[in-house]
Amino acid sequence: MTAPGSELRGGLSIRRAGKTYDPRGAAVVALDECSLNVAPGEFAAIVGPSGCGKSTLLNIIAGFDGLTDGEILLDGKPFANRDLSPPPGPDRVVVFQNGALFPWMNVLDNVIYGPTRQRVLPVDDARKKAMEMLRVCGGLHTAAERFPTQLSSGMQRRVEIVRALMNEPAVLLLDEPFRAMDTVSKTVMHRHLLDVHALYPKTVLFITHDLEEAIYLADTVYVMTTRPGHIKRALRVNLPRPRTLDMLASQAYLDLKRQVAEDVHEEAKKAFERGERELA
Amino acid sequence: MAVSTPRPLSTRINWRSALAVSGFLVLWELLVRFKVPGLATIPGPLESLAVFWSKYAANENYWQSWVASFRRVMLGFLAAQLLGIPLGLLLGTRERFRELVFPVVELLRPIPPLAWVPLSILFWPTHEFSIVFITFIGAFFIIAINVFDGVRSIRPEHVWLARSLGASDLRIFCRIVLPSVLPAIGVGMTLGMAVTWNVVIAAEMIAGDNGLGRLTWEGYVSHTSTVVIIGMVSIGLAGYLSALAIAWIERRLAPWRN
Repeated sequence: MTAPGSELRGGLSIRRAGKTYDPRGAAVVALDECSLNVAPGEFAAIVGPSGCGKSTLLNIIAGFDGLTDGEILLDGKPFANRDLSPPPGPDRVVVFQNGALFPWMNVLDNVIYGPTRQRVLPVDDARKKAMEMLRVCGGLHTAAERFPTQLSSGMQRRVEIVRALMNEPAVLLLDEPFRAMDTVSKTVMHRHLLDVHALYPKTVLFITHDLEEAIYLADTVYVMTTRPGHIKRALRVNLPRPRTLDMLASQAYLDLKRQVAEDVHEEAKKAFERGERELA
Repeated sequence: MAVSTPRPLSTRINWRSALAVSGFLVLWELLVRFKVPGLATIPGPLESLAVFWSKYAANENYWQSWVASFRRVMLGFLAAQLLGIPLGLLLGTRERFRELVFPVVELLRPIPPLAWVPLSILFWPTHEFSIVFITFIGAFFIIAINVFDGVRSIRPEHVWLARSLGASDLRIFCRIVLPSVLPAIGVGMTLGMAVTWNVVIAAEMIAGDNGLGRLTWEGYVSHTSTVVIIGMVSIGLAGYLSALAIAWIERRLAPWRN
């Protein structure tokens, strides 16, 4: 488990957050009274059914959307509320489920885009740093000159995580990054993400609908209700790090899963029966 | 029979293409030779080739027709790109502009380019201008609509991420919007080039005093059907060469798409 060190940032305090979409009078409440705390350096996972508003929460933190109620504090400072919408910034970079590498740039140019755009690093230094990070994160430096379309989706996602980490973000926002992958690739990506997180201990907010994945990866798992989304249950995952695959068969893991499986299932069933289309 | 080693796909296809083309030419020649009813007045490929070789291959006027048609296509096509691409970008990125301009575009777009012939002859001072203008019309709406669609299909995640990584609005336009739209520009060019050749030939037949369309039409008027065939083959070849050039440009516009 990552011990919160002095350099760790990214503590998130989400207090009674609310978000109502109002397209032409038909109010849709995506978030209502949603509260949770993420300590600096913590790996937090939010589990919920499709369309429960978990991506909405993440987009608000990223600065792509605004709150209509409640507030969010970042490292103790007011960050977002009804009247305050932070612009998107390099301290909160998202990795999306379908990937969002720029297809017209090669891997290296994608990775150095942040630091060179913000002029925090000269191009040469950014390249050097990028090559080193790519090398450390699974030997990706050999693919530096290739275009994203020439890589597997797993490789693309790894590059994207490096692109986010290049900005030394306070919080890494992962929006179901492994959703479209098969089970085998997923286990490889889990191992990879755990390794990268051990190398670069950042605050992580990981959105998923997969409870097993959430328990395996996170320090804390939050179960979110179906829309309007709020936190129904918080689960401390006391499995030691480094996490290993055999833990998935351990009694401790199964006990954790048993504690919240019924909650997750109940919400999934509600969402399923309502049969509504997924909210973007 | 021995097991054949698999040959590369391309040679196999080329071999069959050659067979198909020569088969077509032989069939054509035979149908004309045996005076199949209805085909009596049509010259065969050998006769056309002989006439081409003796009267046209070294004839400066014939090559001037190529130059004239190509120049019209290029002028109309380039003008369509120069005006159509910015129009498509504006339609896609400026909501107010789209609300004001798009209905007019949708009103004018369904009018076939050739329906513009009389008006453009009345309006423009020379026939040359008119033909180039009609060629322009043929490609203009196609490129504008394609670019517009291209802008609308930009993935919002790309724009959001660029903003997270510190890009300004201008940067986002140059580094996200423009590259996202390049493939759509390529598609618009391919379609636009095909239409400009269609349009220029018809316009030349109606209003031109030279060009490949005119050459073909004069063959008809003077009852020299070999000239009609020579004109048609020349037009086909010109269109094919233009399509090759556009395909070459398209590959270079978006190299990341393999």
